[in-house]
Amino acid sequence: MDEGRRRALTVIACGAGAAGAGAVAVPAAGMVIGAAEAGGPGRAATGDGWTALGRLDELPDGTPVQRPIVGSEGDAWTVAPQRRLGAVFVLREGASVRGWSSICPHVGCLVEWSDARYVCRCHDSAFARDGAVTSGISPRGLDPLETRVVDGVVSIRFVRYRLGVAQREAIG
Amino acid sequence: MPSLLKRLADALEARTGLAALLARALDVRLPGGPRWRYTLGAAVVAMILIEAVTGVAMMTVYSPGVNTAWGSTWFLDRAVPWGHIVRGVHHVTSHALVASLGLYVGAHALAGAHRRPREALWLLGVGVGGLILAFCITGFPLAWDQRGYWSSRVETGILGSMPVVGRALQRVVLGGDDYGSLTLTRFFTLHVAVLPLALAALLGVRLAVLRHQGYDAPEGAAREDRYFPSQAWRDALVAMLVAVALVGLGRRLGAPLDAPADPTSQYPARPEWYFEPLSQLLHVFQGPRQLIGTVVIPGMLSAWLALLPWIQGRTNSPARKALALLPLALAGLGAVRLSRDLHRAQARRPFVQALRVGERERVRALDLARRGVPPDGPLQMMRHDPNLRPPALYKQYCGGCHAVQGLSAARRAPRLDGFGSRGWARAFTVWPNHPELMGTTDISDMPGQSRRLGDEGVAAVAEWLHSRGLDDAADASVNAALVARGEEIYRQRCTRCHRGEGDTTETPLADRDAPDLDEWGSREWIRAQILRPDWHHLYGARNQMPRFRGRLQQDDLSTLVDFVWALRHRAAPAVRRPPPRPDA
Repeated sequence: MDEGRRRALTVIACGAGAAGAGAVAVPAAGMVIGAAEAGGPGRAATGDGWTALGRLDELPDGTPVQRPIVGSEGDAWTVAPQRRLGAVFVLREGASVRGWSSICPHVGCLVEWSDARYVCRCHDSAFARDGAVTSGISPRGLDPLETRVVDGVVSIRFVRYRLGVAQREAIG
Repeated sequence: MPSLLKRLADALEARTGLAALLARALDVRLPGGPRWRYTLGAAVVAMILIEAVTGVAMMTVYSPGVNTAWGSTWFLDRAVPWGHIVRGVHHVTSHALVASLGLYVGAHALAGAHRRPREALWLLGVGVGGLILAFCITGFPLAWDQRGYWSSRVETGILGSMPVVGRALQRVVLGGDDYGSLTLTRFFTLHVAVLPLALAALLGVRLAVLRHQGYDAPEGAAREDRYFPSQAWRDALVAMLVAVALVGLGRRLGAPLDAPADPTSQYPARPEWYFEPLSQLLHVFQGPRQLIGTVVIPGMLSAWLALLPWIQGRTNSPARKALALLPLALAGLGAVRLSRDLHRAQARRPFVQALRVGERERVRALDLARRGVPPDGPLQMMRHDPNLRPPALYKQYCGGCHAVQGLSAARRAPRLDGFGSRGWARAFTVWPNHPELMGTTDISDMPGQSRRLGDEGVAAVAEWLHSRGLDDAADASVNAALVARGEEIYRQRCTRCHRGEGDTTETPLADRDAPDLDEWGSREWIRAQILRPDWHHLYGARNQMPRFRGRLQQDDLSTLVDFVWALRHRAAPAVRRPPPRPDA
C-alpha cells in the first residue's frame, strides 16, 4: 500500500473515531457539568423568603437575639418541608430593627452572641454589634439581612451567601 | 516546536513502548482483505462503549434507593441539561444492542463461523449475548417506575419458579423475599459493577482468542491485507455512523418514565419486546406445567445455541447446517407467534383501560415532580397530590353537612356550589330558607327579599356581595355601577339585622345571628367562618356549625379555604323564584 493512501485511510480512521466519540462525549459531559445548573425544584424553595420572627414589642431592646429559620428546602429533585435552614440575629433598637445571618461568612459555623459581641467558636472570629469584623480571619462581616415590620410583627428575609470570599454573593 | 513535540514523544515512547504496543495490536493479518461484513463487531463494541459512557454520566445524578430512584431519574430526564438526551441514548442503544447481537450471532451461525476450531469464540459470543440480556433485566427497574418495576417482578418471579434453587436464588437477587431497598441496590450493583466487569473480561478473552486464531480466510481468497488501516477505517466509520445515529435517535425518542413504582397498584405489566415471547410462554404453560415455559423451553434453546458447534460438527454441508439450525428457526417462528398473541391480549379492553389509568398516573406524576419530590419518596408525593387533597379534606371536614356536587349530597347546611358568587347571593336573597340553603338549620328566619327589594335590587345586592370576595377589588368582571347601587341598598335596608358599617341593630351582641357581610365570600371570611362560626360578626349564639379552631392543621386550613373560595366558580343552586306564601 502506498504511503499516501495509507495516510489518508489513517486520517479517516482517526477522524471517524474522534467524531463518533465526540457525538457521545459531548452530551455526556454536558450533562455531568450541567447538572449543577439544573432547573426543577432546585436548591432553594423557601416561598417568598420572608420569615416572621414575632412581635416587635416582645424583642429585647438593644440585645441581639438568635432565631432559627425554618422552611422548605429544595435539593436537586427533593423538596423537604419544615427544615431548619439556618439562623439569624435580630437586633431591636427602639422602633428600628436590624438583622444578620448567624452563619459565619468564613466557613459557615453558627455564630453566637456573647460578651457584647458576636463570636464564632470554630476559628475565633469576632464581630461588632453592627456585624463588622473586629478580629479573626472571617473575610467579611456578618451578612446583613433585610427586615420589615408589618402590623407590629417583625419579619426577616433569609438569604444565604457564598462562604469564604470578601464579596457578598447570594446563593440559592 | 514540532521537533520539541517529536522529541517529547520519542522520549515517552522510549520509556513506555506504548506506540509499539499499539502498532503491534493493529498489525493483524487479514487473509482475504478487509470486508464491510466484519464491521458488525465494531458496531457492537461501539454500542457497548456508548452504554458505558452514558451510563457513567447518569451515575453522577442517579441515586439508587426506593425513595430517591424515581425522583433522581425524573430530575435527570427533565431538569438536568442534556440529561434527556443522555438517558434517551442509553435506552435506545440498549435496544439496538440486543437487536445487533441477535443479528451477529445469527450471521455467524449462518456462515458456519462457529465450527471447529472456533467453538471457544462462539461460546464467548453467546456469553456476551447473555450478559447483554442481564444488563437489560437489571437496568429496566432502576428508574423504579411502574413499567420497570412490574416487568422486573415478572422476570424475578420466573427465577423463583425454578426447581430446587429457585427460592434461594431469588432471595439472593432480591435481597429478601420481596422487592425493597436491597433489591434496588443489588440490581444497581449488578448493572454498574458486576456485569460491566464480567463483560469486559469476556470481551478481553474473546479478543485474545480472536488474535490467536486470526481472521478466517474466505474460501478462494487470495488477497491479503492488514487490519490497520484497511479494516480499521471501515470499523471506525461504521462506529461513528452508529454513534451519530443512536445519539440522534436517543435525542428524538428519549427514554420513557412511568409513574413511580407502587407495589399496591394494579398495573398491567408488560415486558420489553425481546422478552415478549418468554412472557407469553407463561400464559401458555400454567399451573403444574409452568416449568415448561419458564425453565425447560428457554433452557433447551440456550443449550442448543451454545452447543451448536458440536451439533453441526466440522462440516458446513447444507443438510447438516439445516439440521442444526432448524430448531432455532422454528423457535424464532414460535417467538413471533407468541409475541403476536401477547399483542392481541394487550389489545383487549380491560388491558387497554388499565393502560389508560397508568397513563393518567404517569402524566400526574411527571407534573407533580416539578414541585419537588418529598424526602419520603414519590409515592408520598402521589398520595399528597395537592389536586386530590382539597376534595378529600372537604369530604372529611365539610361534606357531612354542606353539599357540593360530586363530593357530598348532605342537606344539613347550605350547598356550597357557587358560594361567594352573584348566583349564590341572588338565590340566597330570594329564598334564604330554601332546603338547599339555610332551610334545614336553626337560623331560618330571614325572609326572602325579592318583594322588598325588587328584581333589580336583588341583582344589585348580589353583585355587591359577589364583589366582596374577589381577590382583586378592581376585577373587570363586575359591574361597578351595580356594585355601588348594591352597597347603597345593603347599607340602608339590610343593616337592621346585618352587622357592619352603617348598622342600626339594637340586638345585644350575644344574640345576633345575621352575619357582617362586608367581606362575605373572601378567603378571610371563609377562614373565620371555619375557625369560629359562632363569632358575633358571623352567626352568633344560634350557630350550629362546629368550631374548627385547633382541629385543622395550618396548611390543611389554607388548602380548605382555597378550595371553598374556588367553589364560587361553580354553578349556584337554582333558586329563581321566591318561596310560595304560606297563605297562597
